[in-house]
Amino acid sequence: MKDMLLEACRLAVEEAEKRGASEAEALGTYTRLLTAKMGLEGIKEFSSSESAWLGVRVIVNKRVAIYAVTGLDRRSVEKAVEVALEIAKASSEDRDWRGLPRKLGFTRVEGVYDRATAEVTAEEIVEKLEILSSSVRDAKLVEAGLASRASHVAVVNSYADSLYRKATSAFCWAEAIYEEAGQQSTGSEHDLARRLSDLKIEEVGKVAAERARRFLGAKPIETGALDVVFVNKQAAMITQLMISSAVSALEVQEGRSPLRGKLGEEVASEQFTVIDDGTLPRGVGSREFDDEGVPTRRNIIIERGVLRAFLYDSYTAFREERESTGNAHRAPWSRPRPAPNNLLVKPGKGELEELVRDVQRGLIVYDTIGAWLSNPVSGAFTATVSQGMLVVDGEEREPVKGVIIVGNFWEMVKQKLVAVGSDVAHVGASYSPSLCFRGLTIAGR
Amino acid sequence: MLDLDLLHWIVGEGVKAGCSFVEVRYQELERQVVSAENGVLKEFSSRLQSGLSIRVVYGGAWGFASTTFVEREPAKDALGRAISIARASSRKAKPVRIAEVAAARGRVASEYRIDPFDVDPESKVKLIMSVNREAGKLEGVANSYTALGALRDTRAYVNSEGAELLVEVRAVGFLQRSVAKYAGSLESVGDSESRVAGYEFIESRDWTNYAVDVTELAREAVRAKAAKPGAFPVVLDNEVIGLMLHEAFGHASEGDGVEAGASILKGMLGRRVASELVTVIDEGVVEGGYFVPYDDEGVRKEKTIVVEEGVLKGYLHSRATAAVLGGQPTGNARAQDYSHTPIVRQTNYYMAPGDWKVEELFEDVKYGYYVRGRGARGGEVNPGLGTFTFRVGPSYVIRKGEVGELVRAVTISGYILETLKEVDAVARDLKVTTSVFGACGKAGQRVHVGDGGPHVRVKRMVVGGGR
Repeated sequence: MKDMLLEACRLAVEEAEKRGASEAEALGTYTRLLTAKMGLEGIKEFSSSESAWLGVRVIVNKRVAIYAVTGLDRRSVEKAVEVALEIAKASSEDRDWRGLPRKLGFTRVEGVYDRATAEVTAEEIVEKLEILSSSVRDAKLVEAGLASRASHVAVVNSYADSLYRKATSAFCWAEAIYEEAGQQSTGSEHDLARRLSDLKIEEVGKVAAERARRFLGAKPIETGALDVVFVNKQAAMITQLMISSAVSALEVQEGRSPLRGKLGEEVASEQFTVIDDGTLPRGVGSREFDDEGVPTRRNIIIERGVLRAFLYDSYTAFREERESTGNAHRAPWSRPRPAPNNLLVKPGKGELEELVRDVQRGLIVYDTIGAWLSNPVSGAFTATVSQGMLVVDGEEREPVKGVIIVGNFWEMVKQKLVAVGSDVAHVGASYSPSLCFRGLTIAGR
Repeated sequence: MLDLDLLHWIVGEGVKAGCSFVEVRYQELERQVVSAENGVLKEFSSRLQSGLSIRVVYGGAWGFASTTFVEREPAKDALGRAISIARASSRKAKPVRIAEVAAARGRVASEYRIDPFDVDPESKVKLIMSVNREAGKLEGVANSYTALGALRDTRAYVNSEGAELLVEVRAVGFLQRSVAKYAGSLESVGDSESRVAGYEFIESRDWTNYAVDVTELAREAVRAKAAKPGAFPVVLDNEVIGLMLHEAFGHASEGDGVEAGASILKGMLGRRVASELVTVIDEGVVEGGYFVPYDDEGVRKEKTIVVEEGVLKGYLHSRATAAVLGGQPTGNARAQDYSHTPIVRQTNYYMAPGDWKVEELFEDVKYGYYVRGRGARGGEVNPGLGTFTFRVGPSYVIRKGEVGELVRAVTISGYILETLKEVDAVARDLKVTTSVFGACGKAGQRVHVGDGGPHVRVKRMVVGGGR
């Protein structure tokens, strides 16, 4: 696949330059995916797909255009170049355009490709799904799913012609329902890893069932200020949601980040350190180079509460006359944008139980809905608790749902963060331990 | 490139390999979005996606595989992958049952005069830029975003029962989103108009006027008060009834959800689910809606009556859910694209018109709200419980039968089976709309749908005040 992708990309850049582009870039991708879902009555859906995309970016006198096609043959490549040039000529000049990146290359990253995951058979997927679904105990299985993916990426531009990387990932999930005395409650859990063999399959089924049972009869509590412990996966989801775009140089430059103008300032508590690391061994967001071919690296974003850096692709970097941080992300049909590779909240001390032990009256949050209604531009955070546990004097008392947590995320991490746990878990490429905040507003009964 | 011979060849290979059923879908999908923000061209995004997929029944189980390489060798490889999936599943899956249908053959294309992909990029950019600037010029506008969208979707379908179909859809649309600022507060209103048509639809309208209208609504709304929260009589406009029916009732009437027990409509066939003024229809080809003459199982999509005068008459079906639940396939098996398996989806879902004049709906309302769709932001529903919450657009107070002042975007919520029973007047003005920008998501697949209805009065609905 390597040669096929590189050849198509080289041809695209060559053709574009021949037809009048001042600079050109091609991103070629090839992905194979196996996805299976199982319900109580067996396999519900099972599919295998392979797809190849070629995205070209051409520049004609500071006019930038992108076009993407599926397929890697000569006809597809030529069509892509032709349409992209046509669009470029119709577009207006981008005065901030300085050029495509020239310092391309690799960073060595361990454990992002696993042959056994890439070559898994349909039988092996079914076997693993059976293990997953049978680990949902003492609750009814709604759905168990498993997916494995292998992806190959090539980047060629006017200045470099041989960048290629490959990676694998595997994902599994389970959803369970528990019914008792006319009441019902659901629970779910998921896991994502670079290797199929790293997935905690039995754990996922077990946790989904436990969650369904544990939160039966959950109800709202009264409105008030409470200590809130977000368990690791919730903390990872929230930090991803609120930090990713706030530290993107594009959002900062366009005036859509609450962190604009705050470099070197204290934006969070001393316990809060956030790192972007594209080289994390086996990290689900790790890669040798970004979608523009720039090598990835480790970027310290917030160091002991102090804002140290933003994340750049080449466009936003060149606007400030600096270098890209290796954070360009793009689909073949869209412009690159800076975003974290792996976003890591540095762990502190103590497992979840230890964090909870110090809470006098509070809420442990296991799951929420509607956090997407939060606003990363202002930092306004909101989420409806769907699975929470009321804690009194360090002891779990009763399940809670239907209350809304509201606050400003940056105020929360600066003034209200009281403890950072040691129990790191990840959701997508966001890694965080459990986080405990003092006195958050809960809107309830 | 479409090559029907290739599709027939794969079907033949599948049958030879021992499959009891084979279907092959080919698709070519072209999409374009041109957008401008605050006077700057923001994006000219364009892509052409093509590929094919093969679904088989082998050893009594389903197998499915797809590829973007539209040639014999990769297609044969995909067939092999589909069969190995079926083989691996057969031990752990319920034997496949699919309802019989007559094999359909035909070629259909939606009407258009000017192919939107033949129009040069320059005139699209010019139109978008000039509309965007005009809307942005109005006083107090903090942000103006304008977009033009176009799609061409060609789908071919061939199966081992003799079906052969070719369906081609072209659609275009225009979108304006404006943010108005007043006394330190912001209000955003977005709206779009789409048609299954060619570029002539874009040329037939004055989009500057349209964008100014949307922007004026944002400017008015930012100065407006919040609605008084509580339960009131409401008049819902065509868009709101469409949104509510599609989300809170339509998904619950999809056969796969019913089969899985995740629908409030399970076991309700023949029972009253709404006031007798309510008739609900799902129809493949309807003025203003999306164009679905056949579904992705090659089944003709006709007019399906879901609710007739308040009584639940049927569910929406694929061939599989029809076989399991005991109904006829209704042509509702749809896939996002060739790389996805078809699942039960709505096409154009709407409430049938009644016999009231629109203005008559307001006459008996002492105090209530005229709930409007323009600027709506969607919401959340639970089809298993029937609960819904929508954030709709800036709306109007109704006082003593008269439409009064504007209030800010409001939230409506309720329990769909109660809400539909509270419908006490249905107007004559049917309107169905679709969108090239948005699509309906379910199980990770997004498809274009249409929805709508007439103006409808509901005796009592919970209205939240917004901010």
